[in-house]
Amino acid sequence: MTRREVALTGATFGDVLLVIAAIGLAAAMLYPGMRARAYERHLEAVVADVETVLEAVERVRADTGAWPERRPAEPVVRSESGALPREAAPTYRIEWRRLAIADVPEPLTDAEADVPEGLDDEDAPAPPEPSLHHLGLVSVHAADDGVLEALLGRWGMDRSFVHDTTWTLVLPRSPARVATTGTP
Amino acid sequence: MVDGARPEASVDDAVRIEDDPVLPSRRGTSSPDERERVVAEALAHAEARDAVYRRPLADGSGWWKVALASLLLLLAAGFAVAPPAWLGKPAPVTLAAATRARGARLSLYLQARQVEAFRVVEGRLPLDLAEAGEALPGVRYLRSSGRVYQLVAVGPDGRAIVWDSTRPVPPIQREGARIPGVEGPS
Repeated sequence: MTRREVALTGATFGDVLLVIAAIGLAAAMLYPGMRARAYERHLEAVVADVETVLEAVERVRADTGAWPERRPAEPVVRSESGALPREAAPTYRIEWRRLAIADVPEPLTDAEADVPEGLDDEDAPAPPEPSLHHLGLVSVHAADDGVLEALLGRWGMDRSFVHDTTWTLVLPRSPARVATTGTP
Repeated sequence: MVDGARPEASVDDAVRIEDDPVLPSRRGTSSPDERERVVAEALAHAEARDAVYRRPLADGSGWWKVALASLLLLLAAGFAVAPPAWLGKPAPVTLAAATRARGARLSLYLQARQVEAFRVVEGRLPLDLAEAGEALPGVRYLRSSGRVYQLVAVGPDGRAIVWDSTRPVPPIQREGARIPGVEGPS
């Protein structure tokens, strides 16, 4: 390259290559951090979605005294973050379940079951009836362990657990009712 | 300057070369010799300036730029393929096997509680978990008779964790009962 060519183009091949390399290096250094921040925002969105579901079911419980029925639609919330490339944004779905459990009381002791003299059997104390409760379960299905760990970190391992690719939060039992014949 | 081209002229020489040859200003008609001299002078001046710029730059004057650019590109490729942790890339998360095993046991416990609730209400075992109400993911239900059933989940090591209704596992029962709100008043 001659000085005339330098004067015409303003930069040598080396100059152009240097600028391209510097831009490439800056992009390569900044991209992982940007992607990590986008992933953190995605995890925050998952937690926020679960909190939204919790607020809704708690409101139903406050109004009716019982946990709501299972939502018919399989995925309650399906969220995909636009901050990450589609293939990098972990997908997940949230489900709400109501699980019946029964408390079966201890049988009467012999002394309790004894009918005092002069009383008919009908006057004998009735055996305690089992009572039925419902637990609320919020489940998040996600193949990404990061999502599951974020949920465990938010709600703790006392109330929640991970099985396979599903995180489940157990909500306390609803008030008891006497068990009667029918689907729990 | 009138002598023609100066292919070996230096930059300093170029500075000394006047931008424009000064033509004599005089009235009247110039002679042919004088015109030829002026033309030759102008041509020589142009050729002298051209010779300065035509001189190639010293070889290797930009090699360090190419070398540095190559090094930067190599670094960029390395960061793109395997970014180090200090660039902010989060380490991949893997849940502990114990955490997953505990989850499998609690799933069995909760599912068993539901099957037992169904048995209390209906007086029989459900045909499948869907009949009991909810089938927790990853739990299989095997009814071996009208009164006995097993629940099976696969642990993180690939082994089956079994809950037998005739022989409930006390550690699992204790672990499940520790979940707040499962036992006792809400």
